[in-house]
Amino acid sequence: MNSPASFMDAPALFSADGLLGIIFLIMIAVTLTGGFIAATAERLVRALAGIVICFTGVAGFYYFLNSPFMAMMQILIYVGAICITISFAIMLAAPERTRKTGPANLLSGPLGFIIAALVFGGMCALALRTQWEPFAKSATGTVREIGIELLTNHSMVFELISLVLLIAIIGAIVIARGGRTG
Amino acid sequence: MQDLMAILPLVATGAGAILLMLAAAFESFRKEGISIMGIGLFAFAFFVQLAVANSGSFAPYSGVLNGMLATSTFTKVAGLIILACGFFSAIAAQAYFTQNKGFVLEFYCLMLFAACGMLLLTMAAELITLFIALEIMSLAIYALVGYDRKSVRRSEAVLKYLMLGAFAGAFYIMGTVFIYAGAKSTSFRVITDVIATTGFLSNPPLVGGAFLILFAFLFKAAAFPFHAWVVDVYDGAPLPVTGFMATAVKTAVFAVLANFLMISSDLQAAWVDYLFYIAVFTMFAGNLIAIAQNNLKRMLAASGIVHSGYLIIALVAIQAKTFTGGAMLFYLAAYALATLGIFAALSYLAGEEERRVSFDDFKGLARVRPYSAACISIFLLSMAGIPPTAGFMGKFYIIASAFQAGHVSLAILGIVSSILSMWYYLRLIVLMYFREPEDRFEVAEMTLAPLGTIILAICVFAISFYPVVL
Repeated sequence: MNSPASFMDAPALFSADGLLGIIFLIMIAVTLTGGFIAATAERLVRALAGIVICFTGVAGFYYFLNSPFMAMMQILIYVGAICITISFAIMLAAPERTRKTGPANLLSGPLGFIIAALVFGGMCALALRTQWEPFAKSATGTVREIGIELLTNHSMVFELISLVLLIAIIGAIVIARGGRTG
Repeated sequence: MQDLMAILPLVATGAGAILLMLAAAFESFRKEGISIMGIGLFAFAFFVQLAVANSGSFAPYSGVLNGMLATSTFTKVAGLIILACGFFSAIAAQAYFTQNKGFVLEFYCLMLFAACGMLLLTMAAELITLFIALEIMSLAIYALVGYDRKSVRRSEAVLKYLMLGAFAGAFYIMGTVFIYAGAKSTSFRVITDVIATTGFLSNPPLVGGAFLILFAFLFKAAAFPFHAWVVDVYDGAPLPVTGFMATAVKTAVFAVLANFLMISSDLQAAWVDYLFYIAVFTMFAGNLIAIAQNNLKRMLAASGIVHSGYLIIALVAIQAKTFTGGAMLFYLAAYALATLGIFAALSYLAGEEERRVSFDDFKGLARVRPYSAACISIFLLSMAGIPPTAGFMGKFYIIASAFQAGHVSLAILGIVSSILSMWYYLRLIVLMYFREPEDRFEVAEMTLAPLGTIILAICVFAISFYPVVL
């Protein structure tokens, strides 16, 4: 079992590593804050704003995971495209201001808490018990590398994505427009 | 050439779906033409799958596709069952839409895409390919469940299914990440090698990953404690779609579960104890839910949970070294025949806008429509496991394999659950035969669905003679 690194091993605050560590901590704070806002907001638009903050923080994680391209795409696709689409949906559907909730089940609160705690405990145990080793060949996360990987080792996935998109489009048309009737 | 043969069923379903979409653009191809074409394409895909059945076990295009797909006898038979389910569901859909409004030309196209996703699921030998296949299947099924936006029940069903399905998908992705962290690859072959060298339980990310992935599949298979969505979703979906979901999706998901557990005998051994309890709770929870139902569709949904329980018994009993999947596939085929039969019969008996769906609506059916009542009785008896039907042989093989693997208590609990299930299957038969009819059971003129029902009823007896090597 790994012994957690002691506080004395931490890099000095005003070194390059130390500053990076602070930025990393900020990213964690941004993600958690965003997630908290999204989960607790009374109004849908505020929850969406929380998601935007959360996704931005996740983009930061991707950067630290040595994948700047993924970080860029996260901002472009999730923060940009998906959240804007959700905001359009909210505007078009015009949901009611007041939040309606069904009759609260006495058990559901504690049960949900217990399950969440179990998942959290499980993840912690997993993280602490594993001997994390860096990969022998670390990827640089460039677009070129991702492109080569997609068209060689994962060509099947690349092909199948087109099928997923086709079905998503047909499904959206059938549900939203009622499809073509015979 | 052999490579092409192996993926030909995928091409037949995928290209068939696109062809159907293009054909819908022509004025001359309307409802009837598209229905017949959809049924024909499923039949064609079935015969393609049958023709490639003896092409051997290998990874097609291993150079280009990097071993992401693999075929074996198990996957090919599962594919046959899936395509047969598609064929009979398409026949049921044709009957359903002669009496119900809301037909869309994309209906059969989505069914073919769903079948394509299911075939991919059974063949996938790599976790990312598997996820994409799962999404292809799920997206098509979501659209099939909720295509009628004006109906509140359909919308409720699709919303529940979509939310919980997305949740299961997230579990799956998380599990894939952990497995990649543990094995440094997503390919089944490499994971097998890693487990062989490092061991399964001594590699925590692998344990966590397998745990999350199995959760995702148990959700799709409607196993306890992830069974609560089934009844509402199956009830809200259109009749032929419910039949398709109950049979084809279940076949694909159990094929994947078996493939995944077969990655390594260590992985399966670590899970046997938990699967044991899941099987027991799934069977009894399903029975309790089914006994309380008054609606036929909801009863069939709940009985689907019970049948998932039996299939999990088969998962507990499989042995990695000598795995053929025979018992499981036979059970899936037997269950699919009976369920498809009932849904095919219901699709024309239910009448306009699914009028007749509760038990009481079928009082005295035998007096008015004796052949339909006889067929439904055969299907119900097969589900209950009465000899000499296929359902009995299916249960016999599964329970025998449980005995063989040394799980005597599980086998006995399986028999007890089977006896409990007689309650709700026989109840319908009693209502059909021993009550006076209150309804004239008038339905629109049609030939395909009643014919399909009779063929399925004959198959229920016919396949019970097919011997399976355990």
